[in-house]
Amino acid sequence: MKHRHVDEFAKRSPLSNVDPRTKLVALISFLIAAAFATEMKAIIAVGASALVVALVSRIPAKHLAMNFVGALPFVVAVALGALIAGNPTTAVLISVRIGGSVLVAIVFASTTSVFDQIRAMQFFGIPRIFTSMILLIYRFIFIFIDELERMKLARIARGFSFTRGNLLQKRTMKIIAHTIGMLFIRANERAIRVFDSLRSRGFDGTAVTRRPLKLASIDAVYGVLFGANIIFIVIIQLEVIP
Amino acid sequence: MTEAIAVRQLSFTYPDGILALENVNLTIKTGERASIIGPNGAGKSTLLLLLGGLRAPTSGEIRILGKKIDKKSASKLHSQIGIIFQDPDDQLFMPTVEEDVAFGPTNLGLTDSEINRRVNEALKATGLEGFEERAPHHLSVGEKRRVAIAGVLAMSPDVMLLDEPTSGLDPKGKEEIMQLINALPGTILLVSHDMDLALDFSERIVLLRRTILFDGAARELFGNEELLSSAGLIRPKLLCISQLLREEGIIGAEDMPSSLMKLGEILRARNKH
Repeated sequence: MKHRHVDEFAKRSPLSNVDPRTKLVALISFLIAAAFATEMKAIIAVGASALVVALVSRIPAKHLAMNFVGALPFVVAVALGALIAGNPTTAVLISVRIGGSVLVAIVFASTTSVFDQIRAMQFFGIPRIFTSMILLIYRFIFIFIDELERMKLARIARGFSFTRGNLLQKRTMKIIAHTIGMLFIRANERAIRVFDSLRSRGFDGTAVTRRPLKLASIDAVYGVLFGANIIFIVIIQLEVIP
Repeated sequence: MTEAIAVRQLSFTYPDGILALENVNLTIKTGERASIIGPNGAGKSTLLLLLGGLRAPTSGEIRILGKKIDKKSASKLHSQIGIIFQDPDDQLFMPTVEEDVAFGPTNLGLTDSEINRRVNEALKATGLEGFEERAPHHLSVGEKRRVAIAGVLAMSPDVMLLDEPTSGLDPKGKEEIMQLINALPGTILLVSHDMDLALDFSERIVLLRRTILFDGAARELFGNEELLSSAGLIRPKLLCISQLLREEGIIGAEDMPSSLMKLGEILRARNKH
């Protein structure tokens, strides 16, 4: 089965050549600045910065929108809370702040291969157990999607499918529970095989890599521009500029 | 020739009480090729896991290149024993083909230049040049199998263990993988329930069904219908066809082809005469 390529734009964007460590530091700094932005002008600056970053990345709007959909429920939930409290301006501002932060994070994830993201995390001391887990999830998520798809086809082939009418029936629930249970069993069996295979190639729990990370002049440009932008947001927030 | 693999009175029971192997004795000499055949559930894959040091035997002894395998030495076996697993999806996990092939050599602690040399050689040997930056999960089953073989080749093991290397492949893919495996150097132990594959791969066949029922020449085993039947196996199709051709006088009694290609050669030679 064919899956969407997670690293589709990791090598096709002008931001692809920026070192993942520079991008990660810039992203976290931006997220912190956005999180503390409460003034309307500062929040608008956050939203505008996010749009500029998205434009510079040259990632198709469709790709960004598709990834944004995953975060949409959270943005909507928070905005709804503000709306219910009777503060529509706050709802809009919160949406812009969270939406801008998510957008910049999507740009980072889209312009950096999963492996490079992990290497940047390892560089900054994120425990290897977490980075190894992310690496394994990235690799095997597709296999489990295939597994689920095969199970779904097998159900359909024997005349069962989820429809609006039967979704809350006891039998449907039972079948969903069995499917999840079976998936766990299969996942466990596969995990044992994968672990055997990793051990047979000398894996001892450490994700060893051989491509060295290198800082270049583009990182300086990226860092300065991003840093200036963050300082600008902070200055507006602190009302240094009226 | 020295012994690459020596197994003495090996038994293995799974934690749930299932006896997978019982009193297995097997010797594979350095540079030798042998096929282990048997029906599903015969313990073939379990034997490979034990030989690779990935499971500890319940009783008995395994020696690899003269060294006894115990808990301590098993963790260092991977530079000597290369295992190609039945499902390549279990084996490939790095984001790119190049990284995956380099995974083993990197874990061995080799220098960058040595890793690069081994990776390039392995990719060349498996016909995967140009695939370096591809993601393993976007490859076909045949290509994944090649990457899995390249990953093990790059570790330069003394002994290679292949578990059903052609399962899930189409006929063309199967033929290509067998050509690749036949060209591999060193000691190779192949496990399969495909009789034709075993016949094509090696002259020596080991019939396993929890214990070793037969260990010897392919022709001798495949001539013993009773033994094959008791193990739940059938003769290779190629041998059935050859027998029919012999009975019809199309090929001679001395003609014993081990592959379709060899049968073709015999028929072409007969036609010329």
